[in-house]
Amino acid sequence: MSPHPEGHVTMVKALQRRAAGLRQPVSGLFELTERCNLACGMCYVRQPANDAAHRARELPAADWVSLAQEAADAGMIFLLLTGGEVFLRRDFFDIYAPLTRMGLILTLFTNGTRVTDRIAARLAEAPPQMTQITLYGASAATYGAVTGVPEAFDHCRAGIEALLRHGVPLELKTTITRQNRDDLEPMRQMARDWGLSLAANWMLMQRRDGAACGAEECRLSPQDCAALAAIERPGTLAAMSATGSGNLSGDSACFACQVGKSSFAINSFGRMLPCLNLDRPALEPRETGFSMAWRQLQSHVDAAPPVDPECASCEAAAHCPRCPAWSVTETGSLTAPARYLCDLMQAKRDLAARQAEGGAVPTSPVAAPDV
Amino acid sequence: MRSIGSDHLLVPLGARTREVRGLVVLNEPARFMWDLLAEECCVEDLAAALTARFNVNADRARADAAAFVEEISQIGLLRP
Ligand code: SF4
Ligand code: SF4
Repeated sequence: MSPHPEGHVTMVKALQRRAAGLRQPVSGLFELTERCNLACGMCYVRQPANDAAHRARELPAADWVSLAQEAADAGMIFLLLTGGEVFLRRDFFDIYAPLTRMGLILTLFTNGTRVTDRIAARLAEAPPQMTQITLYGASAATYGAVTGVPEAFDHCRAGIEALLRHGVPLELKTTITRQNRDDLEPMRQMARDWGLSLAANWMLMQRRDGAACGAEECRLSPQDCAALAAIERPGTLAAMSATGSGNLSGDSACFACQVGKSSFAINSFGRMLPCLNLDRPALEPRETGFSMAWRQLQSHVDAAPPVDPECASCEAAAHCPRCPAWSVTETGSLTAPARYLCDLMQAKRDLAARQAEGGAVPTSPVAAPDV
Repeated sequence: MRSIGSDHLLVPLGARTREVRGLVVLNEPARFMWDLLAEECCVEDLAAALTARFNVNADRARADAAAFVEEISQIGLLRP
């Protein structure tokens, strides 16, 4: 028996793999709303905060609670609540409070800007196992450039401080774009000042509904991504140069992730999706019952075509983050290679080769060399 | 108590989430002892039950039972 404060992620992954063997839907993701009070250009989902039509279609609190109970009865243990911005829902605690009594391990994603002292105090009554706040910059100016709302910087800081005051478990993360990459180190310093960790992500997918979005204008060039990866995750680049061949060694399953094996997502209208980056199939757990929708999702994943031959024989495939969601959002097909990723893998290989020859190693994402 | 095959997770409810952090995963013998602890039960009783059920000798069973009680007390799952 062991509590797992440090090896938590490893432990959760091991449990998810075990659940996948049993086809137990152990990990759920509820997107309580697609609406958000910020307007980040790169967002894969965002709808305006005051979009009345969207709001009217959102699942009411009681339906979220009964869906969660059905999912828990079917084996859900880990549940992530996300948006949009979850605290735009005035009935948030009508959903949250019953969930805390269902034997679920809850995680909460928020932009932090609407977390008041009162909300932090309510959360602290039965806190989630983890709250994750995304930082978008280290100044009001950067917040303005990324989210369109400069004052969100102060609101987010106030939200973080309220959660810390009330002892709600908290981690920070950030999404790096062309607009805020100079702020990565200052954001790290902010996190350190609060005694918090900061995880950075820069792999930006396009919208799952295929609508126009600014992801392409916001995301870093493949070369800058490679340079940033070399600094932030040097091991991954070293692995590329060390292993040489990184093909898939015969594993051609379309979904290499836990989707339809141990995980599922429910969108704000109550449809079951494979994950929040894929909007098909959109199953109807409220009409068919959760268990039937879960079986349908499994069938969809099992019947998916194998990976594209180009990816199957690609030397970089084992290091490439390609997945059905990347393929669909970049190409419309479930399996086709995503050119942005191909270019990124090429940039990483070039950089790894240069490093192996003793060439310059990037030390700052800002001063990324032309590769 | 929530289960994935033969792994059992102790998941705190409501306000108890404030006290219990991290994942608490019980294997079969630990789950067996946990169930016994629902009733009035001491380390000696646990050890005797373990010996009867899991084919372990008395010394090993007493050591395992004592370690289990110590661990769950430390993470706030057992009140004196
Ligand atoms: S984004 Fe890709 S890897 Fe992640 S859950 Fe969706 S399909 Fe799987
Ligand atoms: S997306 Fe491109 S880089 Fe990635 S595995 Fe397929 S062919 Fe290779």
